[in-house]
Amino acid sequence: MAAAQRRFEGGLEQTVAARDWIGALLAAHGVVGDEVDAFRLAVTEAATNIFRHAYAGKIPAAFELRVEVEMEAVITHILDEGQTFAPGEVRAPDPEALAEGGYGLFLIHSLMDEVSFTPATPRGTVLRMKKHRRPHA
Amino acid sequence: MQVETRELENQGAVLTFAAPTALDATNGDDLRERFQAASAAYDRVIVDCSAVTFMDSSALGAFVTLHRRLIEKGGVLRLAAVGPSVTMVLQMTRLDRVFAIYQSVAEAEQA
Repeated sequence: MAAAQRRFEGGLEQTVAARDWIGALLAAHGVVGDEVDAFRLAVTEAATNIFRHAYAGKIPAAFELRVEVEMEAVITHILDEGQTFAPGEVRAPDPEALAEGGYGLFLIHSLMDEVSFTPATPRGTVLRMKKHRRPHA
Repeated sequence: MQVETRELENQGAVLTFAAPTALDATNGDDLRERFQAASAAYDRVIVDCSAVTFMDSSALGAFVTLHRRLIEKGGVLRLAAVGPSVTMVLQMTRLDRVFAIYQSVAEAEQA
């Protein structure tokens, strides 16, 4: 098992930094391509939500990304200190409705096996995401 | 973001990302502006996605809006040369059933 963490602070470009960081980290620990892609997208969506909603676009915004790579799963925690975010039920968007938004949280839930948002103390949110790894030789 | 526009007959155009491009919230405003200009100028738009290396929900929304605007004016959006990362997003949101997707720009032009 391997674990790593990194703090990101700044503007929206930090969503790219977080995506690149977790992508390189998981690839270096032998996580296969589509599972890496799932985390790259889920972390991008989560970090973008943090900038847009937890910090309401105010910069510098900050979040910490913690990653645990286990034999059977990858677990991430994303911690922010912005406005606490507690999403309600996430429904699959109707593609025929041609909505411009509302896909981000749905994508996170679709990509991951477990997703939970927990209020942090004294403020902020901890987003935990877990995805099981496929068995490989 | 480098996007090249090649005009076609009958109010058509092909938009091509000229370099490997990750489409996300950092360039979402730029993408929406370019798509808005395309939907105002053309009826039939083909987006060549061969250089798109990543797409998040921000960019997905821009594609949906482009599609809707073109439909509203009786036009059509076609996506060409869509790579695996974009395909993943389209399939999960089931928008692959809504968008017209072609293997190549040439196929999209002939459709």
